[in-house]
Amino acid sequence: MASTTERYVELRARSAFSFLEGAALPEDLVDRAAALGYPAIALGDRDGLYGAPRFYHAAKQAGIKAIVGAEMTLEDESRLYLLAPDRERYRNLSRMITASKLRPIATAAQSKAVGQSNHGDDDGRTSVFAEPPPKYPPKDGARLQFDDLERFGAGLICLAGGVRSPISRMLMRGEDPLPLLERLSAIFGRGNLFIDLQRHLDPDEERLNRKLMALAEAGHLPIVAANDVCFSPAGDAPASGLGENNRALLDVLTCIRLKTTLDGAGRALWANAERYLKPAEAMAALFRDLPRAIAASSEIAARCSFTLKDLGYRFPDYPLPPGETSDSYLRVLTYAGARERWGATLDDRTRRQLEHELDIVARLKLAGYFLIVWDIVQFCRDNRIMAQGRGSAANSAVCYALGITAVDAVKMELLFERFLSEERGEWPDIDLDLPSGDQRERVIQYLYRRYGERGAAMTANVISYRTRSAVREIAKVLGFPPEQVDRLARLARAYEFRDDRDDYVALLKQGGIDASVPRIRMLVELTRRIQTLPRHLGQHSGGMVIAAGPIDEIVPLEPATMPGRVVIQWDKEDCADLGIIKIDLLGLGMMAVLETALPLVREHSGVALDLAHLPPDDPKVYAMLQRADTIGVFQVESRAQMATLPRMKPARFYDLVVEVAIIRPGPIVGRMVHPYLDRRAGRSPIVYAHPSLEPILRRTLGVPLFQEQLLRMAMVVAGFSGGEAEELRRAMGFKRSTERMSRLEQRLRTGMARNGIVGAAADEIIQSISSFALYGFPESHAASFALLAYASAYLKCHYPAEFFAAMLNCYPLGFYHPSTLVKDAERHGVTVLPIDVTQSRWLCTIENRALRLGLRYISGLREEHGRRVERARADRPFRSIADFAARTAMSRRELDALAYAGAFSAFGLERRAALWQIAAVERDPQSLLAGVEPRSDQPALPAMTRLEETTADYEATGLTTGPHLMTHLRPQLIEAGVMSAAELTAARDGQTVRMAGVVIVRQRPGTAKGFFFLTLEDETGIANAIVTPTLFHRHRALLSGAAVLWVEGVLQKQDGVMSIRARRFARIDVARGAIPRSHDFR
Amino acid sequence: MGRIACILIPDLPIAALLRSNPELRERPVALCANPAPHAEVIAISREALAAGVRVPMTAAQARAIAPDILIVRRSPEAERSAFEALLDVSESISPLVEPGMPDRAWLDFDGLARLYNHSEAIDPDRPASESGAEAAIANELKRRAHRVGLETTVGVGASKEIAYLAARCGGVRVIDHGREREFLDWIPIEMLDLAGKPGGDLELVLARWGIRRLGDLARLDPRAVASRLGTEGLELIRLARGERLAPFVPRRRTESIGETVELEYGIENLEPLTFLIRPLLERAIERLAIRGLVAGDLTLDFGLADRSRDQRRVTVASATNEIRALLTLITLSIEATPPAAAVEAIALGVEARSPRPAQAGLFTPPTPAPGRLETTLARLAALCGPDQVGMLRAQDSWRPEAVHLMPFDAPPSFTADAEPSPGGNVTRLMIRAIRPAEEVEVMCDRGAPEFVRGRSIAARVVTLAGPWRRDGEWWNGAGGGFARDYYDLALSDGAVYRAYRDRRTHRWFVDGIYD
Repeated sequence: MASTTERYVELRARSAFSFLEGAALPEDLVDRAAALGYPAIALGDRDGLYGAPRFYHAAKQAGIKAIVGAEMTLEDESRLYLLAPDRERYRNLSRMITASKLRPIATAAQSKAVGQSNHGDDDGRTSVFAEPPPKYPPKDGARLQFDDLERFGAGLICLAGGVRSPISRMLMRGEDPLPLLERLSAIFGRGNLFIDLQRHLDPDEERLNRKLMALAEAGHLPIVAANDVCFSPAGDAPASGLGENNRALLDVLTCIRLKTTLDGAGRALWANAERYLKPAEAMAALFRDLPRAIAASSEIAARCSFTLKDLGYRFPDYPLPPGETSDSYLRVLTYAGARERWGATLDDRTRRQLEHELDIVARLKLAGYFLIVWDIVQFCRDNRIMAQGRGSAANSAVCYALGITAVDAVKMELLFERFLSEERGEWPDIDLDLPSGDQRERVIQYLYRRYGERGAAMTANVISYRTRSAVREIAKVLGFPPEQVDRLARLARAYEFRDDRDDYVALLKQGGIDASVPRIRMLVELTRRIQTLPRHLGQHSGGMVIAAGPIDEIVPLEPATMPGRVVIQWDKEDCADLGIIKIDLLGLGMMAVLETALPLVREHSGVALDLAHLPPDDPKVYAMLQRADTIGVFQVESRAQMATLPRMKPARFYDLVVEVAIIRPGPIVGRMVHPYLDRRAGRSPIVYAHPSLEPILRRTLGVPLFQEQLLRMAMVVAGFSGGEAEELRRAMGFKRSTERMSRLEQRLRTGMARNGIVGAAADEIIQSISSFALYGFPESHAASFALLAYASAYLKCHYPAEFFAAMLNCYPLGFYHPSTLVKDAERHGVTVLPIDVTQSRWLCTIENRALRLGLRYISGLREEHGRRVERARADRPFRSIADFAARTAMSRRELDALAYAGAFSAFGLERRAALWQIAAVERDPQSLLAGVEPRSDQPALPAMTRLEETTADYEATGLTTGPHLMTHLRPQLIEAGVMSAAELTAARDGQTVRMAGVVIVRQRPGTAKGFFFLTLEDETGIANAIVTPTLFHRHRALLSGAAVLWVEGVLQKQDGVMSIRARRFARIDVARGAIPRSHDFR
Repeated sequence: MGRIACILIPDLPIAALLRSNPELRERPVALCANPAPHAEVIAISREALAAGVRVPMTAAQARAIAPDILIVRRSPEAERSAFEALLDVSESISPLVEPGMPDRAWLDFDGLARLYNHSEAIDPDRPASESGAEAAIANELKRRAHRVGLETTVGVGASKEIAYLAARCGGVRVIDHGREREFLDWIPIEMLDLAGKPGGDLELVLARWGIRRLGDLARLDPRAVASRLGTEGLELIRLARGERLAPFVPRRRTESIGETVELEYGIENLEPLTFLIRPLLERAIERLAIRGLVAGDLTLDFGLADRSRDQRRVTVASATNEIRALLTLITLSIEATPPAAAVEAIALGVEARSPRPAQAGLFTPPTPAPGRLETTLARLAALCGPDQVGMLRAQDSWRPEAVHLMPFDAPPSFTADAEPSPGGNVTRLMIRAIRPAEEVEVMCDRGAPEFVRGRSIAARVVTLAGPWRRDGEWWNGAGGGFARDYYDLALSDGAVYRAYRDRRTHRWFVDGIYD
């Protein structure tokens, strides 16, 4: 047995990363190979190395060799299977794949653009790209050319058999493939070209094999056995009738790829289920007439010495001033920055911390990395782009000194080892928050320019099937009629049944579907299986990798859907596993707000604010936060946050850090919110699950709230090493974590038992840890967010005009519609001026301490035209509507919208009079009549009522600077005994109250057991109402659809948090269609 | 000034659906253009409206709000037939009707009052005033529409527009002569349905001007409006002032070729029924023939003794005027599914088609005459059932005997395979399939067949090739699917057989002989 195992190695296998052509995860292939005693196995996915990292890691764990390869599609759709024997050939293979993927296609538009001025790309961005980015073929459209093979093919091992190879295709067509064979032989080199023979008990294939053997003999080429593996055994023996392997899943994937059903697929499916990894003995038996083909497989495997361990990735070097080393220069920069941060003289603690960190950085040889990140931050600073580090980098004083982060790690006593530790020996993770939109894109393009087109790339994001999409696709493939597909998919949406099949079956039964029907059973089982597979590759939201040399020598690149972007074929976890450095450049709307607001504050209040030097612990700010007066404030503006703030009563920065972290699914599901709040209010004692946890949990009153605490808990109670704790952290943030977490749980329990922690205490600790599996928040991250929360609260509190102007200019972001923001601004004493063509700019501005709405809020007005108004007005003021129309050349629709919004009131025209005039003015600037005032025939149009004006404001701009809609209804509401939101504060707990308002938020969170939450706004503020599940179902249509609602119920007041437990509702029909839609959450 | 009536089916798509599916009348129903969950709802029933569903929600949203709602695909056929019924009703009252696709018709009411005032069909107790008489006729129109399953509204006025707007007001509304402005002044602008028309932002412009009713519009200076809103605006003003008169253009509907006979007694037997149908058919064919047309599909509408109807369509694959062939098809149809009760009335409809001259190819084999072929197929269908007649086509499957039934068509011509298959240039062996496969007993040595014994075979295996493994159709459940190992066996009797072992039952079969 040992001899056959040594002799046969599977060289041709495809994983699910050959998207829709393989049904096995790389790990499954490796596990099976290891179980069968294979010493090595190769993986060659279609047109990429997508699965290689996972394959490599699994193989490393299983103690077998993982050979890297790819199956490349040629222009005639035939395929060549290539293996990389060494590092140089691996690099060539990677570059070859990149060449096929990044081959620009010449478009008419591009050739036209040559020699013309730059008008920006498709998205209308003009500032980011120096020239239009090239266009590439669509996904799956890239094909390898013979030129690519000739450039990069030398030394690669090529298997040229199998039904899809160009050689086989020629044989099947009756053509002579010898010339092609000679060409391939010249490309790869003699001894590197093999004819692989496959035996799947198929007569046609056997006929082909005979021809291939004759050809190999004629061309003096070696033959090799292979099995073209593309699925794996299913593991358990399912009762679903799908057989003992994943062939059924492969058939389903094939149908999805071909957009057909199983009944319609016919012979597009494989003829039998022989394409799985067979025991070496079985392969030897199949090829007993050709022992040399078996022997060749192990000879090739022996030649392939390359594994991903030898990637040769190197982080780029930072160009240093003469006489400096990376370490010395980092020290210089750190101390220069430290003096800016902490003043000229540093206290001992700070100095000690800096020295400690610099020492570790030097020992880990990471100074270059810090310099590169510093360089990016420097670019942002030079270009007035706000940047702030988050994630574990916020634990570092050096990062703070360098301006990478804005959290004072010394003052906050954050754990530096969470960021960098000698024991872990891995690269640190620095995430930079940038203003969303063009500013972030500028930074990304800077990295492309700085490190070259092939020196920087975005990381990929592997997209898996979600339950609903999986059910939809599989049900279609199984031939369910469209209505039933829809019904099944809807049932699946309600429940994630990944871990518990029985419940889904119960749900199907509730939905009137007989779950015992064989096809439904198959659907359930196939859906379960498919969800572990990758569906396609997306682009990670902000992860970038950079390398000293071309990245495409490390990992293939391919175009992203977004123009000007390229992505690597691996996701961020794969990169981290292989030691490839990733920098996350994340877009954050609030950063854009701050970036917009600070210059406004400087200009209009004469105060130069710095994020890092905001007055700390400002009592006014905390008073505002305690009142839950947080509309627009980063991270703490949601209904749930607002309901917590008055209980939490944050009084210092760390309270805000806790506040940011506590309203998360992790703490909510882990039932940590109420214990913390009760302990904080002194209603319950501070206790610890075990005395050894006190030092760790003291800051959070014995309740674990942060990832760091959970890691330390694991280390203390279960004796986890730093590395194991790190594995736990990774499992927490990792999508594929369920199984890993359960393995780790076992280890935790064993460790705790050793320390005498068993029973309820152990359960409590385990529950704390597992509820963070998906949604835990690290303390440093919470601190970075809390800083932004504090900054935004500070601005709102002290510079509301500038803050709201910035919010309105950066919309869409946050929780609330601009109409709510405007009314909140007014409640904070800000005069909000309406849009006026003689004053308004495109963006909102500050005008004599008042906020002037910008033209961007006129619905349907294009930015280009809005900017034209600014320019034309800069030349000379507008005299009249006719003058305005002639000089701005706006469309009739845009002029109408302006008039309807009252933007021409400066010309002394009521809205309808303006509309009447607009209708008669000449709009063509070239016309003889351009600018000529129309005849002043007096219209018989009625003037607008106040309510009509409000409605017109909503329709034309989505908001109003005039009276709130509810103001118009107030007299009737008072008569009906309806209170305003402000009056509710004076009402007592338990009192039956009535309130009416515009519905601005509807929410039915998964964690709230079916309760429905409404936020209503009137002219005095906002109020919340809670609806029980029963009532919600009874009034579902009304509650889901009404724009203005009347609510009656019992007022509940606790710890200053107020809500109406609603019992009766009614729709108020007013200004239908004009009111902005509420922000609805599921 | 003449008098025009407008009969209107409000919310035609829903009305048409409920007309053809009366059982849905109490249910919340929504219509979509397609069954996709993101398709927008285009019409809803009153019950759906009450449940909170609105147009244009998506089907998914509608389901979320009203879980028991029935989402149905819009049916243009049902709408067309509702419209046809509307025209029938209109023509039953007035000889001059102008169809207004898709949901309305105008009728010339001029003088009709005098005509119907003397008719007993109209309530004789009502006063004989002209408007009273018009209202009575309009009510009769509405009643008749109700009889054919349509809920309508009727308006009567001096022009088409006024009549239409009056109909839009609901029920029956007669606008007396001289009171048109009074009526129009009150009409909201939305009633004009300007949104979907060319220059569709007129409605928005007028709304922004604060013009809510036609009366507001009528008071504006036409020249000032014309300079701002162009011709459309001017036309609107004329309409608002009751000045606009679109001409009334009555049109004859497309003549349908139909013949009917009503009997004084019920017929229960086929032979006399055929005897009665024959002259109807002859007359219809004659009418077609003089216009140079031929008969396509036939419709038969039998009025039965139990007051029910038996409506059927007889498909004619090849349009023809051959009475015998057509009569045979009708006979076969009745034979296959006889009417449930005695027939008391017969309505025959014939679809007119243009004859298609065909030239047979010189080198193609002669095909049966279309009429005879159709007759034969119909006979077979009557004999064996319609699902049992057709032609078998090999199915795209790895299971060699897989076939499916197709409608009978001309035999396929031989074409070369477009896609090469492995070993495609090898000379192919022909195999004679054995259907059903013959079960045999096979003696094996270490898994390899050695001797085959069956009903007609008993021979030693001389040489073999295989096994060739085929399995699939796992999705057909435990009883379905197949898993076989095929062998090509050269036996000592000199023949080469294709045999397989069912891997689930371990039984052996021979399913072909190589020629």
